[in-house]
Amino acid sequence: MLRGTYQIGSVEAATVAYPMDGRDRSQEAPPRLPERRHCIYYVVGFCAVQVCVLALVFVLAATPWFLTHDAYPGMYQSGYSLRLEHADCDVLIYGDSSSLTGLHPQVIEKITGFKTCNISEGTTIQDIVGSNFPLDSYLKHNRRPKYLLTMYTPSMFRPSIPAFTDYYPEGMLYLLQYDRNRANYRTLWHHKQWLLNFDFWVGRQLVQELVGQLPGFRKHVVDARKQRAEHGGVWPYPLPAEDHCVRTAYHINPADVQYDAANVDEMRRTYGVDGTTVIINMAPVPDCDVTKDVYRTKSEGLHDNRFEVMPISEFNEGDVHFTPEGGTHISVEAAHQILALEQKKHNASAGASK
Amino acid sequence: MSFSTPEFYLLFLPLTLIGFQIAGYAGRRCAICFLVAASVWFYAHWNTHYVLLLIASILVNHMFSILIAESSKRPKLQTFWLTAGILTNLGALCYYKYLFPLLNFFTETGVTHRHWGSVVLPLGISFFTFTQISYLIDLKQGVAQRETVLNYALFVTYFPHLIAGPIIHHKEMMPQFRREGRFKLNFDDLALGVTWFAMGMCKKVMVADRIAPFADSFFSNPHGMDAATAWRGVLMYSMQLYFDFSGYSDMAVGLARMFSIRFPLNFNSPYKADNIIDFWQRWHMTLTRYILDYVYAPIQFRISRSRLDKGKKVSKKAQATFEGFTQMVAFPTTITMLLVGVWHGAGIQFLVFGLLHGVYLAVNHAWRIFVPPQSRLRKLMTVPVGVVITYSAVLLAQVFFRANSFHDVFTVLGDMGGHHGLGHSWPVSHYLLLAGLFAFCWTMPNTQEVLGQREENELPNWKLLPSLRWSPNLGWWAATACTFAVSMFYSTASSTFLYFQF
Repeated sequence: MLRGTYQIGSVEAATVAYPMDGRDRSQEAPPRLPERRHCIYYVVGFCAVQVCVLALVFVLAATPWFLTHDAYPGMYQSGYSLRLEHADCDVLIYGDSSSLTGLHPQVIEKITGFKTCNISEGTTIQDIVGSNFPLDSYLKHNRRPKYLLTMYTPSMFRPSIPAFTDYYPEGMLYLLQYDRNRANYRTLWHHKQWLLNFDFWVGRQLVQELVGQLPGFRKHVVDARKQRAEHGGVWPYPLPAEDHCVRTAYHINPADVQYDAANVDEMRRTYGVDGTTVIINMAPVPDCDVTKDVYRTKSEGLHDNRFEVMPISEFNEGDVHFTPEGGTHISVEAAHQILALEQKKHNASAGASK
Repeated sequence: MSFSTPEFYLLFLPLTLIGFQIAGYAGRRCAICFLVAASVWFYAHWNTHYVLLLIASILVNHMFSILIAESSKRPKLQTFWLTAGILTNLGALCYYKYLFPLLNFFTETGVTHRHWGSVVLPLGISFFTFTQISYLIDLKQGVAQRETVLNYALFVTYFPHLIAGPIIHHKEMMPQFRREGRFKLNFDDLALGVTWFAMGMCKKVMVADRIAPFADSFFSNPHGMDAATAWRGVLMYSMQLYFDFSGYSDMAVGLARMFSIRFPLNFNSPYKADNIIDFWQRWHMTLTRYILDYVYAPIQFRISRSRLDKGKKVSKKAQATFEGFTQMVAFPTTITMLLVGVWHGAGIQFLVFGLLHGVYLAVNHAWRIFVPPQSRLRKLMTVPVGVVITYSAVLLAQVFFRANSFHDVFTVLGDMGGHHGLGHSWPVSHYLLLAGLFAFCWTMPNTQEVLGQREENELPNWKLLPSLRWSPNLGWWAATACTFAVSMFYSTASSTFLYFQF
């Protein structure tokens, strides 16, 4: 038995030489010797399982099944632009998650009378597939819009994002679901750490999904894809309003934010053709954000709307996503911005005809 | 690179196993060379500069070992070389671990007015310093043999113990390194080692890392917390520490076993201990063994000799007197545990942690010596009562162990005592989580029992154990492979073990 082999405080301890008994413990036989053949199968099987599991979760992540079994209902709504065919919207909303949750097509449509759709995708997706892919996919199957209305959160104000900029599991999942091709796989192969991180992420999602099936852990899952379709593409972000100033993990210190005028111009140049007017807006910041003036000063001249602040109660995830009230507020402003542009166009054409 | 990071178990470990097998075909020396190189690379992955310190430490100690061995016929010279060796090791340890915290403590208390800066603590310095000091001492005492530099380098650097123990002893390692023909993969050991490693990984990644945020968030700012939050933070930390260290120990022993090297056990269900003496035989067992042999025993020996010189007795009967107990039990125990506290770190809270355990041990010995076996008091002390009292004492000491400063200790204790109100009840899931963890610690057989590498503990009497015992069959293969796969998903590159800081 273990007890009594060595004890601090006992006088005998001074003479009990447990580790110095000269016994070669390596010689001790284990209690039972298993069959060597079984041990070989056991070890080889163990390694095989790990390799297979890593490969299998990657394959599973590319199946439509995974989108409804990944314990992440939010991801099911992504890829909206790929599901729209012949929607032919006059106002096309595109941007990051601030525009995904903050620009309501139904509100804009009501004020402007233009058919409006919101095909925004989060930055986490655009950082992997690039900002052009969702937009170009829409344009392939739909008429060009009159207005491309975009909005970006101030800390991540980068309308043109190249593919494979930064790792996010959401973007990797989107890529595997909607943008599978040899070139992308080749590029991924050069980002082995991303692949591994993504594999582990998928594994964790599956484990959580499995746990979620157990009694007591079941949660009501909303159909995010249906939700988005019913609201013209805006996604009602399922969180309560904030009651104090919070910054999300994505938030970058305003002092470190580098705004790039060339990046903004690229967006205008690429999509402001064939009768499309590109509107590039900056999302509002909470009025309690002490750094709001830094954003205001740094971003001057880069965006088309006026720099706005809103009460924190109109945000529902830190300073990035909006409550329905916050979204309505922003959408009304954007609709009036479009009306003003329409008026300007009308005046210009009237002037030309005179 | 910690054992639970993907780059370790997906890259370093498989490559090292394959390389070891290939090197093994070229003979023992080649395999040892390969293991040393792999271990140094493992250490270099953390900090390239400190590899030089590690290599210098090995070479200097090996030089001292040669000097000690060669002066065996001149005891005074031998003692001189041993003293020089010990002082060199302790000097390096003191410089990296204690000097700057101590100087900054003087600045904080107003003794000096200069900011002294700090130095990065080399990972595992306490472990490889202690291992080498013990070798030099034993060499001088004639219980160790002079070793080749290659064997010695492997003894010090072997990666499963290099960073955070267990503190291995040359007597149990060197015979294994000397044996020809063992430096090839043995599938019996590999199967057992893989299972051991997977179990440790599960404890670390699926339990310790998952509950760490509860403890971390509380201890990072314990000010003004209510009693419910404080108790949850402290209990969660207690469980985090248990599963973190248990997981690390399992992984280290399992890793060593994959290469057919047997490590001593380091963790044996310490929360099942029904007294504090028993606790220290189960918690960080190799540290207990080390301090017993190289700190407690010499102190005890000197005290006994001094008493004998004065014509006093050193018998058990003599211990049962107040004077004998104080001199022969309480004093050496307290001093030893004080040093254990200091070994853990350079802060007053570690000193008090050690002192507390010293007092606990002295009280425990006093109970054994002075309370008659048939007394009513002894009968009241049933095993469950003993387990709860022991755990409570350990928990109190863990507050000192974890708190960020000595000042924070009293804040935490005040919070636990309801200084800022009792607070609201926890969510049911937190009760269930803690109840599950306690049930696991107190009632389940531990890893080595399940793996058949140790006799069962006395409590609880697990009749089911023989049928549950590991063997390389289909059931165990499925369980181990699935457990590891799930743990792998939850492992992160940034995760480290709590004992890495020592």
